[in-house]
Amino acid sequence: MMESVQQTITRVSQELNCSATSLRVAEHLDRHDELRLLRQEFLIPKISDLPPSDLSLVDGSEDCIYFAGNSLGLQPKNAKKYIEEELEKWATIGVHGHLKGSRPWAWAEDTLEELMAKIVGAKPEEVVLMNGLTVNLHLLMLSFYKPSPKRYKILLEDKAFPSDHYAIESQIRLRGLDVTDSMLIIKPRQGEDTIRTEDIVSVIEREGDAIALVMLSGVQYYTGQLFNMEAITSAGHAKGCLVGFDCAHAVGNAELQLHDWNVDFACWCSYKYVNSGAGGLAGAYIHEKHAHKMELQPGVKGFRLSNQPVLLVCPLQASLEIFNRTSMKDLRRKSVLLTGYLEYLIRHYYTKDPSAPDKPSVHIITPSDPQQRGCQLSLCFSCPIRTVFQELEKRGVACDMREPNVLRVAPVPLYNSFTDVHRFITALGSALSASGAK
Amino acid sequence: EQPKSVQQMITRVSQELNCSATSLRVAEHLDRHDELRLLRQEFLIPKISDLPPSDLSLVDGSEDCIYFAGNSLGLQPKNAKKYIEEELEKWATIGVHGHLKGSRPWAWAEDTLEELMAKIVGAKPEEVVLMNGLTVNLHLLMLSFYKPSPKRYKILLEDKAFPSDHVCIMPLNLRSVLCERVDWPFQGEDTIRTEDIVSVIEREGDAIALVMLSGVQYYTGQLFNMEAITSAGHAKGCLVGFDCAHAVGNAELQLHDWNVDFACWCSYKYVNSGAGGLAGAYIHEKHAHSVKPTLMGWWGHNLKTRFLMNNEMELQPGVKGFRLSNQPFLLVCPLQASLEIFNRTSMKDLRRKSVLLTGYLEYLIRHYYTKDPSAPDKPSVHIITPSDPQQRGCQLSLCFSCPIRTVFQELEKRGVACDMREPNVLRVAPVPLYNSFTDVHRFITALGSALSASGAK
Repeated sequence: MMESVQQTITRVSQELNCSATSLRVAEHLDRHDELRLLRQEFLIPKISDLPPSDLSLVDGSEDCIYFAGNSLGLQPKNAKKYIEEELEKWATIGVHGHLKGSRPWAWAEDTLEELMAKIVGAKPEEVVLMNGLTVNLHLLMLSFYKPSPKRYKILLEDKAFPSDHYAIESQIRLRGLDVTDSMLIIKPRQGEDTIRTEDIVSVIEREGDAIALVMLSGVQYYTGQLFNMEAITSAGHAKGCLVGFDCAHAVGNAELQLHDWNVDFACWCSYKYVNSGAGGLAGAYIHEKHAHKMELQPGVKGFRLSNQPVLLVCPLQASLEIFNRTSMKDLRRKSVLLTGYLEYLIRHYYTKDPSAPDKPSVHIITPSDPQQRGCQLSLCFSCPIRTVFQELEKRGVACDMREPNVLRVAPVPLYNSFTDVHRFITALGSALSASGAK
Repeated sequence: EQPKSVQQMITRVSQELNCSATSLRVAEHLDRHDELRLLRQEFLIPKISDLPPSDLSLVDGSEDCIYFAGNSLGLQPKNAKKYIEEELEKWATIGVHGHLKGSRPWAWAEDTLEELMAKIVGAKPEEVVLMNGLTVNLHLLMLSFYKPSPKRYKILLEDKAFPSDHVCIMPLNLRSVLCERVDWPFQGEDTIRTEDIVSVIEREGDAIALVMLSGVQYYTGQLFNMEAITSAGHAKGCLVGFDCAHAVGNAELQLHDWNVDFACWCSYKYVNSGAGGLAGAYIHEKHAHSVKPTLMGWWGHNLKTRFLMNNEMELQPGVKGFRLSNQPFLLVCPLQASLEIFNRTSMKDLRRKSVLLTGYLEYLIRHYYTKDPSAPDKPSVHIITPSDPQQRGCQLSLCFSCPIRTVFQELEKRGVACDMREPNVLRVAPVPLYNSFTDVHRFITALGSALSASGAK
């Protein structure tokens, strides 16, 4: 990083001789964004398309401000084309489609595994595309969670995504163990929103002899915290634990080096930052060092159970081809600036002002350090969020609300712009006024 | 010995038409009187010229191919594309709102199909769930239903079970497994007698935890007497489940009334949902509160409170609690298109046509290819599949007296899609939803031509 985000914004506003909060800064950053053309590879809803939009408040012909890519990524333009190719193939050659055409169904997902592996920092033989995330999590845990009388605990984070929590509980019960005793849940410190790496490491050092598995998320869905996966893996291994990560919110968002960090296993879904559509094909990773303990095909390839649907391969292919036109490194560089710009503006307008206690303020739960977050910011408002959220939606913003106070916004580098961020801030101001939170 | 009724029908028709029983006119007559013939138009049928192996010097490429591979991959329902395009349009225009809006809100898109699916398998809607792939579902069910004890730990399965089932059952390495390897079918027989299955269960049943057979055996096409097997299993305290991959949309299933404990199936064969389509699982309602999913995920949580995300599981009863994740709308669409076609008829009516259609095929094969002791070099076909319609679905497995590879290639050149298992077997499955009696007649013509061309005089 040549300069910090703040320095960049200051420099640009000076060059343009305008205020740091001016739209001109956003437009300048967009003009200089090397990845700006990737936006055209996606289908972006117009404001008038979104159900909650109020066209008396905004121009419906504009693109919506889509900050919900952490929940459901936008559709790559080629998804439809590829799907139509496969429907045409099914219609014209039927059962021969398994072996013929550009995507023989018998191995369609295999060809994408190399592209996927790049994104997670793994070797192609360490990655497989199959099933859904929770199924893959279970398959991996069935093989990696091998408790013994002394070493049987699973370390996970507090407020883990529900599916992970239920999955871990059920894996523990399956072994006939006690859930309360076997789930070691780590929380943030009192008064803090996120979990310090040093605290995770020290729990592992203290309890590690009894821990069979360290199973955290890569990026925490609620706070947006990006865990230090390398340090955690290292700490886990030092105490003889196996270490795996649910990378649902990390894939296509953070720069992952699963192989080099020695992560034992991981799984993820592809419908968030990897834009493959609701319920899209999930992924699984196993480090090659485990390859020959598997009975069937070596490594994670042996975990495959069934032929994967070509209809899910198509949108995923369309998305991975876009990722392949850039790199996670370049995407992260833009993301740091994009999310940093959002943070800058939020702090500018909504830092708590002791002299104006009734003025709405926002506490950003997500760490400020770019190394400890991805695209997403979790914003905790000083006022109830429901009406603010509804007013934002009327103004063409797509994002996520968690009552009572939290908004999650995720400007993604593949298709969001600095202008999107500026428009969001404008909409937020207007939404707060309209909701009566002066 | 073929049951009289199909034979009688063919004889009667040929007499009415004053033609030979093997005449195309019989086929055309049967087609004219087929109440389900219009359903063919709901599917996209490849032309002969579309199929890669077709040899257009041998056949008219503009004709529909003879697609007898529906037991392997069903044809595409015409509405599949339309529904997919609707959902792609939705994704493009409303993004994340698509989970809750539109005609197929993604958050519960597959739920609406479960009633249609339940009808086809003879179950209540609450006993059926659509999710994952077949083998995943088989694992999930077995993890809950296979609870061995020191005395009762065996799993009864058929020899030459589908490879995925076999591998699935073997390394359940959380507990040690001993499979009952019964020597069946008996020497010289192709299929397994129900009485033999029942007697194994009676003899060994105290040690059997689970009876896990296919509903229709993929290789032989045998339809097992699921009712009798379930009853026999229960009489000895065993749990009974079936892999219905080849049975769903093919045989008339009454999973609930037969008291079957659990079942699973794929939907890309007779249910035409496309390669890798959404699979199904069934659990009898009697287990709704006693058999819990061993592996859980957030989709098994009560829908009303699922998104509160407080990590306190409110498990849905029965098979619904076995869900793990949101299912892809891209797979829901073709399945919906197919199930809507099934819903225009009934399994009963489909079976009635199928019995006649497959019976007609059998009739013609026997006519031309019954072994002739006075002409030992003439190719003959031994039909492995039971002759009794109650013991089979659409499929016939044909065992040829000559090597099958060249015959198969010659058939493919002539626009036939079917399946070959070396060294000698052809599997052909005329399905009632989209195949016709004329298809069958054309197949027989192509087969004769293919046998000549392959040098098997």
